[in-house]
Amino acid sequence: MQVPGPILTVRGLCKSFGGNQVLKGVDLEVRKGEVVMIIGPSGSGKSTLLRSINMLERPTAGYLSVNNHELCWGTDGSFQVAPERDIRKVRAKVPIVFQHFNLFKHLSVLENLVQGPIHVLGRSRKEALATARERLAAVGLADKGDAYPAELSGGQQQRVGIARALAMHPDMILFDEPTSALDPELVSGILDVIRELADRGMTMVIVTHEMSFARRLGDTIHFMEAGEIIASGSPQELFSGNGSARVNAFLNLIAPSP
Amino acid sequence: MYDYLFVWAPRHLPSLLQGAGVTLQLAIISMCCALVVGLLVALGHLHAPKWVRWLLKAYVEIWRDIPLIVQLLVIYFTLPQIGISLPGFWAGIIGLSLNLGAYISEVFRSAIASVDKGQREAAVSIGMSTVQSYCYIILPQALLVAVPTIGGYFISLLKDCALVSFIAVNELLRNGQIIISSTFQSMEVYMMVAFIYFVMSFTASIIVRQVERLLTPAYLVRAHKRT
Repeated sequence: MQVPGPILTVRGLCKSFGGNQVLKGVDLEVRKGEVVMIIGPSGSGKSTLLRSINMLERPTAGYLSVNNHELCWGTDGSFQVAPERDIRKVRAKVPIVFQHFNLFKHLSVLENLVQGPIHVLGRSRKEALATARERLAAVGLADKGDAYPAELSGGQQQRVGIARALAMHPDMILFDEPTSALDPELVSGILDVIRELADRGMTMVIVTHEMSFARRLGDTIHFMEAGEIIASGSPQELFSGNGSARVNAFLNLIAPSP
Repeated sequence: MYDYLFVWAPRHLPSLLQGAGVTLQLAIISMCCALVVGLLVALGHLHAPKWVRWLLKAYVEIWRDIPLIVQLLVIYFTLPQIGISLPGFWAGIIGLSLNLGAYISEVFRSAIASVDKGQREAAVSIGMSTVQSYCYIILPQALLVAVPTIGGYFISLLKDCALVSFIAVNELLRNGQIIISSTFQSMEVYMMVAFIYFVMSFTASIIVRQVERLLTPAYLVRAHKRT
């Protein structure tokens, strides 16, 4: 049997805003079905890395390929980005679930879910609506199809955000701090939805501050600081206390061992 | 009074109503052109190269700083000098469209800017092109913000059309003045002209309100009913 290649390959990815270097040569590999957690202090470049995978932020150097489609390559002098059309095609397959949901405010929940499938994937409206209803049911909101985002709670909005990503028939879903904007009592509901996706084998890259969640659900955890991944490993390895002093200090700070 | 209502008015009303028809045509055609100009200028401001943006800025500034009547006269009397001879009606359309377009571009620009940038990101992140993200996500939301202001501009445009009488277009006001020149009944005619303008503007403002209501998304209507 052939071993599946990585669905995401990132090598030496750099990103600067003006003179400020936010990513300093990040390497990352994600295999099909893998749940990858990215943790680390605020401002370490986690979100920028995640957004770069979707090319929402344009890297300034380095190599990035999703599902064998190269999106950018080369170093400073010879850095190149794939044509816009190719980038759009890849984007459709690696949707982002945003921290602030970013649901289309002027559209009902069902309409939110069919925009991408109809306009980007070229599905028929009927087919898109059928998929949308199914995905909505999967996140427990079957009865909210006609509601508008403003009529939903934060937790419900984020479920719609996840359903909208699922409606794209994604190869991989990127989560950008999916629970950071939620009230504490709503967090566990969203984590449950993500856990179910993991159980069904969905490939996911999740930027999160929920350490116990990262530990329980992550296949691999990457620890970022100051634009670099400074430690990687399975939850057991990373949380064992045998790693670098810096990682241990951070983990003890936010998730002291009992 | 009897004479005014049953003899005088029927004799002159057709000419005034015909003029009102021209006024309406001027207003509607100019409005459509101004919307296109305004939208293109607003999008240019946001996406075009720097030198184009600079030109657009100059256009908006110049057109807003010169009285409309002067613009109309300049267009009507200078275009023939460079070989373009336009009937007053179309010179009027050009003047009104460019003038209103300058104002409307600013309305569109701030309406587009008022749409949260997360909306664009969400659209683009699922693979929409820039054009698609504008058509399906950004502009529908921006339009909602812009409609009340644009409706207000339409009503003032309807009244500004009276200025086109200065460049020999037989619209409502000028037809009134023509009647006065033969009957010398200024007060009666101007009253009638004023009344027709009022009816047109009032009707227009009712229509604008209906359009606003039609465009209001269902959830806002529901929220309104609940309170």
